[in-house]
Amino acid sequence: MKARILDRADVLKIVDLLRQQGYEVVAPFYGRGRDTFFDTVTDQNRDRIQIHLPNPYYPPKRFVFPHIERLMKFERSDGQIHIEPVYEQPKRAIFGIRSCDLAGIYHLDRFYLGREFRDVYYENHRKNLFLVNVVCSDVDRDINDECFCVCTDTGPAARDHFDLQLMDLGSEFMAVAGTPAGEALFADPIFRKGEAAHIEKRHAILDELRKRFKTTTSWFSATVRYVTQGDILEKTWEEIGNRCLECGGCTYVCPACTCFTVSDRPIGPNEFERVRVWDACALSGFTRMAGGHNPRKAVHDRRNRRFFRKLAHFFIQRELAMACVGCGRCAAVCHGDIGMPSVVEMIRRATGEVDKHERASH
Amino acid sequence: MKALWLCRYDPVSSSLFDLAGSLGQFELVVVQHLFMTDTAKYAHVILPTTAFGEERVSFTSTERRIQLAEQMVEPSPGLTPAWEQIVRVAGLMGADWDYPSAAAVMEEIGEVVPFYGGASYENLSREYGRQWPCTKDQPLGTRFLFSEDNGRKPFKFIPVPKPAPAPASSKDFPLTLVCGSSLYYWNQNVLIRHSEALRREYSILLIDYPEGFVELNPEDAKGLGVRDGHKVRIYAEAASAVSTARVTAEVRKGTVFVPYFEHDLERQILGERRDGSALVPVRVEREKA
Repeated sequence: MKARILDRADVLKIVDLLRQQGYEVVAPFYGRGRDTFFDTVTDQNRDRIQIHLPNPYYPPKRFVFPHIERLMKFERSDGQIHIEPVYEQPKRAIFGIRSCDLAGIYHLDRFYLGREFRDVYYENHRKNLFLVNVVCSDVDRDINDECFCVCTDTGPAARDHFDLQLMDLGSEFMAVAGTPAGEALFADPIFRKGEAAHIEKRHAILDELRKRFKTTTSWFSATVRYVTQGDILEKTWEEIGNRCLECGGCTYVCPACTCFTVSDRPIGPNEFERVRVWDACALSGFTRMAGGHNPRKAVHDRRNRRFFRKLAHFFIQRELAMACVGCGRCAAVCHGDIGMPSVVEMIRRATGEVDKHERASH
Repeated sequence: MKALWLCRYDPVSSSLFDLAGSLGQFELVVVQHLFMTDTAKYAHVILPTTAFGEERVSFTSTERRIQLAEQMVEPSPGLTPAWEQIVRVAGLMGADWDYPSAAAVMEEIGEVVPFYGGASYENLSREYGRQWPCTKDQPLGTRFLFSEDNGRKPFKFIPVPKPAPAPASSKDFPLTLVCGSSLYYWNQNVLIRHSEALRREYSILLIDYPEGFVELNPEDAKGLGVRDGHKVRIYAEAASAVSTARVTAEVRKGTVFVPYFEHDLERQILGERRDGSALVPVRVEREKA
């Protein structure tokens, strides 16, 4: 990977360069209060783009996997039904995506494009996507109380899956190219070659950062083993399920959740659309079968589904990583405090007592 | 009363009473709403309005927080904000109402409602809402309505009598019938029908229990010989009604839960009282077909 140095004052010129190349650039902004959000950059809001800010709750996942997406249109006329597929192929760049969300997009890539059947809708969103990652280096603004990417090995500085990575070194920024497209930007005169001192500084900042994470941790290893081996007591799942309000919030903010449902709805007198919509395993309709039987009727049976999918070895093998990227959003939104870190903790404590492996060694 | 003007209000779907009949007595019913609601079906005039995010408008929550919602998307062609429709109708009726924007309406509210005096759109746009009283002297709003430092008399806590206990369970009526709301049934289901995931949850219940349901605890159901999906008859002292049992541990033992969209059942059991908060002693028996 090649790296270059640029002045702090020139960082947003990268946004300008991308816009000149015809990209729709989305970047993070402050709302009011704690609110932050990704929005399309225009001439008016360009100067308000934030480099350091709390990661928006609504993840940038929606730029490759929209919350609601039209798949096709049906029209009824002259006794016939005409079907017209709808493909959106934006040329888009996400500026300021955090390392956790980048890992989330890589997870979606593995899921939607990684095997025999490629998802054409996802692929259309993904193929012209340019990703500018910003390393979370501002302890106060970038790293929230719920962040635990050091536990999922996805941050604070991503190692790959970006086109360009920016890291704040103080008065200067380091830009690292992850793809030829990213490297092509280095032709612009805002970039200059770095020195060994820059790399040392990067390492020093990252070493310090890893110690500055706040209170949330998630000790996954044992829990992955318990989930995979089916060691977790029914009682523990019930305790977790009892705290679930079935709102689906954890799924809607998760950068790695992939599930959707498909629904047809009228859009005119003789016109219908087929849409796919984010779905959540917390909802009972998610597993209910057409005949009325629901194999996961009880709340805790649905709730454990989330953690099997995210932590069981079968899936880790397939996606090459856990389906948790350590962003902490589920911990922030859950009213019952059963976000990933709490659940890992509950399972670890409850199952440790009956751990077969542990017992065998005594 | 000859005419009724309902602004984003759908009493027909949310009320226990038979409002459809009452609406028929009016010479003119005007409904402003986002959707074709049950109430709108009885209207002589329907004015479709813009939705949240399609207009610049303020909301006040029960936390006293006055919030400004900015317009983020363009409304579908032909839709106008509710306030603008009122102004236009007023104009046609000869009134001289001159509001160029919702902000101007808010300015006037500030002039006549003292504790909204400082809640101009310009002020609201600077923060994540202001809590009233938000006056010219106190433009940042008031976080606590009653506190020692704002000169108002502090709250005094007064014990209230305990709520009436559930009617003593008798041999004849050992269960307590409770009416209430339930997940996926919001006050005005019309909104849920426009949210894909919620609509699915809502429709599934209707598919599983097409004639509605009452919820029974599994232990009670076992004792009664009732299984999920069985027809049951609920006997109260003066009346009885038939429904389908939904057996779920989500309700407590000793309780029969009636989701409040079960209007017919509520009417039959509660009769003229029609007080959804009442606890009614009942007996449940399996209804043989």
